[in-house]
Amino acid sequence: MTKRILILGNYPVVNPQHGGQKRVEAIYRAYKGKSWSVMYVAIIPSKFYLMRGKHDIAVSESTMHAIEAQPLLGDILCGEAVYDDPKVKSRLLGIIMRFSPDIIQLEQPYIYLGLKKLLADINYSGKIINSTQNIEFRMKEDIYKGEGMPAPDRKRIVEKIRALEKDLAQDAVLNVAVSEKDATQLADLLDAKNIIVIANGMNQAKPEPYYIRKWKHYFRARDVQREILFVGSAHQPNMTGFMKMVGKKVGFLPKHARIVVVGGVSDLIKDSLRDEVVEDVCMPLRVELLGRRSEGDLNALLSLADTIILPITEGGGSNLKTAEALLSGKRIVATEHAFRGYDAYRTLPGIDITDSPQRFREFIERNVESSDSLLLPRPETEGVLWEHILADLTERVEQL
Amino acid sequence: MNRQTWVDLTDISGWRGNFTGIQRAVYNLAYHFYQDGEARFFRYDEYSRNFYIADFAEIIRRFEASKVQAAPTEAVSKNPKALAISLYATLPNRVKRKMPGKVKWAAKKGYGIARNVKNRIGNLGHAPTVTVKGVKAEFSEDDVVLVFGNNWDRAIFIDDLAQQKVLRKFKLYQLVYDLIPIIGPQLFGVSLFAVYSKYLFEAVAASDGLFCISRSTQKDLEEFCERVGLNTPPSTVVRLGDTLEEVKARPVKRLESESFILCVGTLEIRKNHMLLYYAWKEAARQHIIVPKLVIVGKPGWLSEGVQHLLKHDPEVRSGIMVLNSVSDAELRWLYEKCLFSVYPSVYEGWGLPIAESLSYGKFCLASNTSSMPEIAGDLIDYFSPYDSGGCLKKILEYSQDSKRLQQKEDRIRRLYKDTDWHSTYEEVQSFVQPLT
Repeated sequence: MTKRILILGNYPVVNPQHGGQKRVEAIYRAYKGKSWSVMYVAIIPSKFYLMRGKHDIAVSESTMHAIEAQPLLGDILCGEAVYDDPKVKSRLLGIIMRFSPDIIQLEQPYIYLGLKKLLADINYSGKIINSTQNIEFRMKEDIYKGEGMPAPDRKRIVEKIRALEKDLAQDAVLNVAVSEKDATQLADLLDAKNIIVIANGMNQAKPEPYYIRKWKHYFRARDVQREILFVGSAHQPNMTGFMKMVGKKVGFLPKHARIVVVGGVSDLIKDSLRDEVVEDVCMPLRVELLGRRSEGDLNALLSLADTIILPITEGGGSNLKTAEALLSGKRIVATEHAFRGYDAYRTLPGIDITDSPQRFREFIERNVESSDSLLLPRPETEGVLWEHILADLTERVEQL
Repeated sequence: MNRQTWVDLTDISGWRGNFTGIQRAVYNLAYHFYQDGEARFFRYDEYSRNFYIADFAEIIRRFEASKVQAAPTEAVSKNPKALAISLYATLPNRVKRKMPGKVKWAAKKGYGIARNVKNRIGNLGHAPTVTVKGVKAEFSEDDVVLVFGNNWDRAIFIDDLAQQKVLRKFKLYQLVYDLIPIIGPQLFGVSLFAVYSKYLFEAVAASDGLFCISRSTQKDLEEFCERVGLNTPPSTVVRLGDTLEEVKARPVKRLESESFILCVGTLEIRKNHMLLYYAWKEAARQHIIVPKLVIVGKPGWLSEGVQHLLKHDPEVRSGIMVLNSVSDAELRWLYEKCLFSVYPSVYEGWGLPIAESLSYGKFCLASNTSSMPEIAGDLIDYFSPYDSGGCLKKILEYSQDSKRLQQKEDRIRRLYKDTDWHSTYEEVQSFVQPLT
């Protein structure tokens, strides 16, 4: 039976870069693959995203000013804009009226701040799916604390998010969690019912010869023979995890080895380096901060890496990088947190999991010193491909 | 397999003029390796990025010639014969061989055409590097490579040496003088901190063993390694030679009838001449009579301010004399003639002027920081380099109490033993041999 599904989120999925974007895009394609009518609409701060989908709605100038004044509250302000910002409200209302979805799926809870009131106004009778990637109130608490938000404000805002998540979880006919741990928390902390765990997955990457040549040349010119790859978005927990598990004391690596950092987290690390601090000055001698790169670059770097590290210690995040690492057949050094959702694969060869920063660095060092850099084919990890992972989700949605 | 010892001469092979402190250390250590006949010498060429065999005999010859030239400069310049001989001595053998017989003869005999010789050979100080042309240094597995110089200003030296080490699998040992640009970046130009930190990082990472010139430097090195996550390679402290050059003392005429206190060291911010300025200034304000202060040192890093004060302050300028350039002979006279020496440096890797002063049997007042108390323990007195009042008090104590000063000098003459470079060489050898 055909379905009409409207997916609402906080970011565009055109040319997806970070894990959250990739996950939403994969879900969108999976629904399309079932020949359902699917539309994705993101409510976004206009200045932050230059590439947008044709249905995405940029907030008005006044909302944008408010977000710029309080960037930490950007998600919440975008969610409230659904009802309070006349521009967003009228455009979204128009879409809902025209598209007439029988299911509205929310990626992250924030849109529901305004959407609930909007749907009440129009007596919407369709179903709601709550698709989560994190337990947001917990993650935001850590972020706000890290950013030095005063405790009373933090408490008030975190409570608001918790209430929102609980409201949405209970209104939803299906709650989608990214890991067993998140599923447990959804049930225990937010009283959610009808929970399904859909781990993150990935598309089969095929590195192109041009990019392979380009990066081989890059590393040869720097006399680098061992590359340890860390891919992460500009998501604060990525930076926090890297600093905790690897840190700036990178003298444990020999001269011919580099930790190669790709993605927005690279910029976060670069911004944290100070010219007058000795470990900051020396860090780039063993760490290549490559910044944001294209999919072609990333596939080549994955294919050339000797080891992939997943130093994630907190936050939600999509954990897509874990799927990428598993499928690459490369050695993996990871934290327990990074392997949430992939417990079935943790005992495969070439995978070291630890929460001890010292052990983490020792595993990296051992891999660097190892003379072989063999690929470790893991056919069983093909289960991480989106086409396998999302079969459960489409089946459950079909039954709604 | 025969193990070959290699000594790096990069720091001194292209040098012109007098050696600096580090270059003297490189020269003297290399000299003893040269004498034992087992070592080979190399230098790095940063343009071709290759390591070439270097001719240490040529460096010895050049060094000896520079001493001949530097010793009685005034006398030589007024005596064409002496000038001709000293000029001829500075020429490389290959140049001498190609000289026309007439010029050779003139130079040797010192006749009136000596000035023409000088014109023909151009700038004396421009020394070509002493590379055995085209012959690359071929390091082999288990060879020992010793780097006594400080090559931080050749950023790629250590990169290329480390790469050679990976390829050739030799053992690398380096001498660490100090970490002052890292510990006290405010004492240098802004960019040195990063350049020096990166150089030291790679130098330590590539080394199988490190010599430090003081326990203070060794401690600083261990702290640096901890901060950047490097495993500290085995390290030892070697005491650098401080025996004096055998030259005849030559008076500095302006000071012949004066009583003075001596301060030797480059006129740079780290050497803290400002503290002496404040001490002498305070004495002037309180109408206290202090002996003249003679500062010997060339202008260096960030010293414009103190130079300006010393030159233009009417209350102080007659009490402090700055000599930017003195010969070894004049320096000997200054040490022999001074009441005692003073060394207010903020931070040191070692503190050679303190050791020099003691070698001349002269008491020294020195800073109580970093390596300086290691040199002579309780043979001398110390003050905080940030306390000009404390410094002035000590200066007055010893300049007004000749009996006490004499007792100190007697004790120094009885107990202080200078270190010859052969001992330093033996310390280096005894560290390297068990490790290899």
